[in-house]
Amino acid sequence: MTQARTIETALGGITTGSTVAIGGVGLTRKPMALVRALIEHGITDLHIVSFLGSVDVELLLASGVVAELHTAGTDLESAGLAPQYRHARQTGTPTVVEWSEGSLHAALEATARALPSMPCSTGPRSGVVAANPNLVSAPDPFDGQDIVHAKAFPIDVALLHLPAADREGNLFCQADIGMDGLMARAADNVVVSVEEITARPVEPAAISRLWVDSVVVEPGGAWPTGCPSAMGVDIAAVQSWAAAKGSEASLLLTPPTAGAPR
Amino acid sequence: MSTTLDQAHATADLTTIVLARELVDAAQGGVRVLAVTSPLSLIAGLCARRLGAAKLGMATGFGTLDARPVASLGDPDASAGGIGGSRGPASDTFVALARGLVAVAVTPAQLDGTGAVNLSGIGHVDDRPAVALPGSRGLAENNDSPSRVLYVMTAHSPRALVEHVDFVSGPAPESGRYRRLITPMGVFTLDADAGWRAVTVTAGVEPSAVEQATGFAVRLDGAGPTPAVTDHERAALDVSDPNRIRSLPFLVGEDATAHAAGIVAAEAPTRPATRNKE
Repeated sequence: MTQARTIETALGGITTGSTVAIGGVGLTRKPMALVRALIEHGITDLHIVSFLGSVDVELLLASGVVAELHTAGTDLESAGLAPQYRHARQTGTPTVVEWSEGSLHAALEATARALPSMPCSTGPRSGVVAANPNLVSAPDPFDGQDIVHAKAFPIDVALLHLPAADREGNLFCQADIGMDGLMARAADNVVVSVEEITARPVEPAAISRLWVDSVVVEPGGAWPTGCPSAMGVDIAAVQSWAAAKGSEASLLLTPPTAGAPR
Repeated sequence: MSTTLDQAHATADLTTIVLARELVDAAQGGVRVLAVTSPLSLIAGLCARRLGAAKLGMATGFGTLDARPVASLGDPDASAGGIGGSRGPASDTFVALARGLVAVAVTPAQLDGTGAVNLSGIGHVDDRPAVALPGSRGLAENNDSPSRVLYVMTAHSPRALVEHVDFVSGPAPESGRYRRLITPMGVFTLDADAGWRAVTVTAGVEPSAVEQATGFAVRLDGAGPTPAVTDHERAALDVSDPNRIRSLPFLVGEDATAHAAGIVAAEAPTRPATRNKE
């Protein structure tokens, strides 16, 4: 049942070692207010799933709270490569498990459907399959061709950010929602920050209230990433992070003052 | 990489239009959807719609087809690929790709003579890359798909066009798949069982320069000059991308930062206002 909450209450169930899925794609709709609150709570040894990561991954890695990262790719788009992510992959600390988009989608689908695995169109000869213990290539039971299967893995909580929710907890977004809908179906607990609570619009909900546990109103909660209908990407802030090589966590921990021009 | 701003802009213009021409051809050949992977590919798609592929669909996300994308750095809807369109399952783009209905432009860090690609990392030691890159993203799915894959490289360099990729993000495609390589030096095609061949070479580029800049064998016989950007194509560029977002991948350092800042400033007067709260 969806409940309006404070961030502190909404994140109260996350414990050390939890598997946390972060919604959004690249520099779009990352739930950064929730990510910052997660870090401030002092919860560590997190297993993070970020389908296509950016500053969410960067801040979590810089804060030292990640035990393992699962992602199909992480960068800062036009601002370049992600320095903390690169350092983690190059040093092996923390563990970074590389997926491809199709295989990670399949793993989330399997988890959502309570299946042990899901076949996908990932090429069996891709190095991603050999390097990822959650992917196996096996003959299809009907026609014998090699098909890659992605293993399901439990997700304790999904953190999402969308433009709006109604008072029932239905979530609305006029743009693509990436894997957020799938994460909402796969996770045991779904915490969503939104720009605003609105009267229910005519359009169908992007994500039904039936998948949502907590809604937190947090205008600008995606900063410095963008949110459709609300705010564009603060590319200068992302570029500053990249220029500092990810060494100044304060650059991403302190959003601009409310009401200041973005 | 271009050494002057004018050179960067000119290369960006030609690359975008060459990609747009490929998309027009793709649409005429039965492709229904451009899977947008970058601002440059988006702009090429918008141009293609004005240059003969008016019905070309756009997949700017994973589950939304035919959104209304805009080429913008600051628009709140732009980074999400635009608003509207048809909302499908998160797999819609993967479905279209697997069925051969897609043209997708990708920029791998490495491409080799077999058509295998790498965006994971360079110089792997003990299963870790010496130089980590963004990650394999969709290359593991699209590189061997029956859809059209167009490799767009902002520089033609033996560091990127290698004999063998360091890591196989996307395996070499099966024989006969439609694969094109677009670089500042020309347009190349992957012939079935015969490797890469130049289709056109950029005006002013010598064949020997192409050979020296490519880490794998490339056949150059029969290649004509890449047609220059026409006035009609120029008009399509001006309408689709008035602030030259397409130039960003061809700029580095302070030039790129300054150009991005200029785009954001130019867009500010026309940026939509934030919605009022309830």
